Amino acid sequence: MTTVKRKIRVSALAAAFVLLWGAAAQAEVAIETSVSRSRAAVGEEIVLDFIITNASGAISKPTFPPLDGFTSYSQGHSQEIMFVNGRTTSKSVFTYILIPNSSGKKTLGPFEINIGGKPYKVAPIEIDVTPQGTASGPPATYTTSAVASPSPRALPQGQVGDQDIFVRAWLDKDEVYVNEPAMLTYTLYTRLSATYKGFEKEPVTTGFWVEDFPPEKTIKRTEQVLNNSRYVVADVRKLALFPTEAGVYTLDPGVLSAVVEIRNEEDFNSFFSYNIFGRRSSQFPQTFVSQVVQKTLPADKTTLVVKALPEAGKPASFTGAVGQYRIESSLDRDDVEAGTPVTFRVRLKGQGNLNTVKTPSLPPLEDFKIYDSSTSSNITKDRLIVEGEKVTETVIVPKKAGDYTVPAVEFSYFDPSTASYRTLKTEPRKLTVRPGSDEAAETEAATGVGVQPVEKENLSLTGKDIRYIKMAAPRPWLLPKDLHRRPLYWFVDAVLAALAVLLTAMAGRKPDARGALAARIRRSGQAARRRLRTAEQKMKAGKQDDFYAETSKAVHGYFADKLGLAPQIVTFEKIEQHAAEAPPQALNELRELLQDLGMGRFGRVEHGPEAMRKVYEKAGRVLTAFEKVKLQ
Amino acid sequence: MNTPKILAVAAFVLFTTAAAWADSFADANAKYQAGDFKAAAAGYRSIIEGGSASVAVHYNLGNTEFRLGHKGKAMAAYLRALELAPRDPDVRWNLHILKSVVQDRIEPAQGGWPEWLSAQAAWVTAREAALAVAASLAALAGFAFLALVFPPVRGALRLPRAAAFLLLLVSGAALYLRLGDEGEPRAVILGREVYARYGPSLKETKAFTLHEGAEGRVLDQTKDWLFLRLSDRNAGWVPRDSCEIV
Repeated sequence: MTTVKRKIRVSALAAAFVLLWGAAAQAEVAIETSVSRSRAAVGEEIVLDFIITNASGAISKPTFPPLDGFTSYSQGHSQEIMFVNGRTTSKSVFTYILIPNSSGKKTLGPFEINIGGKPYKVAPIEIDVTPQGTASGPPATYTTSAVASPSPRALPQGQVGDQDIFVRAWLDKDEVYVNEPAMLTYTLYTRLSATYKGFEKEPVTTGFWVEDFPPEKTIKRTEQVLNNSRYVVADVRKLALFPTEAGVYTLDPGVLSAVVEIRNEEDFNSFFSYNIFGRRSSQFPQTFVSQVVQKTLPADKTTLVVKALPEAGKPASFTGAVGQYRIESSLDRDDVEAGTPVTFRVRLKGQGNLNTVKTPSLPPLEDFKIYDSSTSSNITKDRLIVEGEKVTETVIVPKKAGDYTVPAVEFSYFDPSTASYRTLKTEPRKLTVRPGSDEAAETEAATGVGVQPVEKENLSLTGKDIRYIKMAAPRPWLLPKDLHRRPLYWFVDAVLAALAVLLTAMAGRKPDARGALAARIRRSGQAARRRLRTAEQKMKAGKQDDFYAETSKAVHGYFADKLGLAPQIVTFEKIEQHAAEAPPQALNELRELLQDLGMGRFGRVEHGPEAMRKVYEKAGRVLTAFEKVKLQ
Repeated sequence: MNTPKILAVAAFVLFTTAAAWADSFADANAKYQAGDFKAAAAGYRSIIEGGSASVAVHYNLGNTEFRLGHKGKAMAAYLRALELAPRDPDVRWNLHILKSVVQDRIEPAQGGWPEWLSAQAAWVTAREAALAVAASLAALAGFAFLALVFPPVRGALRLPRAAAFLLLLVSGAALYLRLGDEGEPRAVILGREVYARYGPSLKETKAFTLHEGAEGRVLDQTKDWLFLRLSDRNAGWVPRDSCEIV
C-alpha cells in the first residue's frame, strides 16, 4: 500500500515538473548581467551576477577571458521556476565575487554562455576602481548568506587592517533580573585566514557570577556581507553572566587575540582561482608567500540593565534562586531499626545558577537526630545553558520506634520568563522505625567525640571518627623504599633470571645416568608385578608357553632393572655377585625359580597347572624377598 | 682510619639519628595529645623534611591536618601513608572518613580489566612487588640448581617451581602497574575552590570546579600548571600552587 502511494506521489511531481518545464521552454531566453557597484575601491568586493531567464536546455557556466587586476571566486549557481497566474518563468543566476587589486578603469568580459547547445554573447562591463580608502559606490548593505567556506584573501599590501578582522561582544538581552543569566558572546568577523587564540585581556565582570562555556568542538561559521565586504563570521567565546545586584552595568568585554595568516600575492588574476568550496581550479598556477601576524581584537563596551527582583509576591521560602527548577526528595530506606541512619536526599534540577542556589533543609524533627547536610552539584553547559542538578543529603537517625512522616520541604524561585515567583514542594516521605538495640545512644555518644567542628560536612558522618594517631615508631626497613629504582636491584634481577634460565636449560638437556638408573630401580618392582599379573592370566587360560615367557620377563626384567643390565644377560651368578646381603633362602629359591623357568620355556616337558602355580607363587615370593635386598 | 673505626662511627651516627628521630616523633605525638595540632603538624613535618618519613609520621600528620580542618593537606598526608602501607587498616579507614567529608563526590568511571588490575596492584607497594620479583627469580634459580645437581628431586620440585613462576608473573605485573602509577603521581587540591581549565592559562575556558581535598592523577605539567585527570575521567589544568603533588 505504501509503495503504491509513493509511486502516485512521484508520478504527480514528475508530471508537474514536465508541465512547468514545458511552459517555461516556450518563453524567450533573456540574459542580464548585474554588478553590485560600478565604482569600487581597491579591496572592496563587487558581486557580479549573470541572470538567465526562460532558458531551455542545459546552461553552461559563463566563460570569459582572464581578468587583470581582480581576485575572484565563484559564489555558486541558483535556479528557480515560478508559476504565477498561469504564466511560467525560469531563472538561473551565476554569482561571482570580484575583489579589485589595482586602481583604474577595468573591463570585465565579454562573456559567453552556452544554453541548450547554443552560445550566447554577453556584452562587457566597465568598472571604475579607485585607490584604497577612497569613497566608493552605493551605500552599505547588510545581507546574510548561507554557510560557506572562508575565502582565502590576498591583501594588496600585506597589512591587517581593523576592517579585515574584528570582534563584536554582544549580549543576548539588554535587561535581566538579578541572577538571571545574560549570554555574552564574542563574534569574530574576518576576511582573512585567522586563528582565535583566547583573551589578551580578561573581561571585567565585577558584580557578576560568570560561567564560562567550553569551546565548541566545531565552531559554526557563516558568511556575511558587511559594509560591502564579505566576512566569515564565528562565535568564538560565550560567557553566562549572572548579575548579583540590580543596577546599570557597562561591561568591558576585554581584548581577544588572533593569529592572522596573510598571503602575499604574486600572480592572482585567474578568475576561477578559488571557488566557494576552497578548491583550486585546474588553471591555478600561482604561488603564494604566507605571513603570520598576531592581531589584538578589542571589543566595544556593552551595557546591561539589571532589574531588582519584585518584592510583591515574594514567598517566605525564597532564597534568591532564579531560573526554572524541579525538586524531588527521597529516603534511601523506608523501614529501619531505631538508631539506624537514614539518608534524606533532596534533588534540585533545572536551569539557573545552581552554584548559588540553596537547597531547602529539613525542619527540626522530634525523635530524630539530624546531622548537617552534604551537597554535591553536577552542572552541565552542553546546550549553551547553565543547567544541572544539586543534591543535598541529610543523615537522620530515628531515636525510637514508630511510624513517622518526614515532612515535605519547600523551595521557591523566581521565573524570569513569566516574571513571577513559583513555589515547589516535595512529597512527604513515610518512614517505619522498628524497635532496635540501643544503637541510637551509641551513635549519639560516638558523635559526641567526633571530629572537630572544622567543617559542617564533618558531622555528616553517621557518628564515625578518624582513628587515633600511631604512637609507636615503626621498625625501619632495611631496604630502601625506592628499591625498584636502584640499578643494582635490576642488575641482581637480571643475574637471577639468567641463572634460572641457564640452569633450567642445563638440567633439562642432560639427564643424568645415575638418575636414569635410580628411576629404573624405582620402577622395577612395579613393572615386575605388572608382568606377573599378565602371567597369571596366561596360567588361568592354560597357555603354558606364554605363562613361562611372561614370568621369565618379569623376573629377568626385575633384576636387569635393579642391576642396570640388559635382561638377556641376567644370570643367577651375576645376581649372586651383587646380592651379598640377600638371605641364603632367597638366593636358593631364586636359583630354583630360574631353573624352573628355563625348563618351562626350553625343556619341552609338559607341566600341569599345578607346576605353573608353584612357579608363579615362587616368583612372587622371590620378588617380595628381593625388594628388601639392596643389590650392590 | 681503618674499617672497624669507620663502621663504629657509622653505627654511632645511625644510632644517634634514630634516637633523635624517635624523640621528635614522641614530642609531636605529645603535642597532638595535648591538642596543640599546629605544633604537632610542625613536628611531623620537620621529621619528614629530615628524610625520616614513615607510615606513622605521614598518618599522624594526616590526623593533625584533619583536626586543623585542612582537608587537602590531610588527604595528601594520608595518600603518602597509603603509598607506604597500602594495607594499613588505620590509614584506609581515615582516608575513607576524609573522603566522605570532601565536597567533591567524584564517582569513578566504569573501567574494564586494566582498571581492575590497577586496583588490585594498589594493595602492594612497589618495594614489596620488587622484592617478590627478586625472591621468585631467586627461587627459580635455586630450584633449577637443585634439579641439576640432585636429579632425583626433580619431581618433588615441580610444584614449588610452578608456585615460584606464578609468583613471578603476579609480582611482575604488580610492579609494572605500580611503576605506571608512579609515572602519573597523585595531586590533591589545597585551595577552597579551584577552577580546572581547558588549557594551562587563566585565559583558557573553565572546565569545572574542584574543592579542597579533591584528588587526581597528574598527566602533564608546566612550570605553573598541572594537568589533572579525575577518577571520573574528567581532566583539566589547575594552577600548581593550588595543589600538592603526593
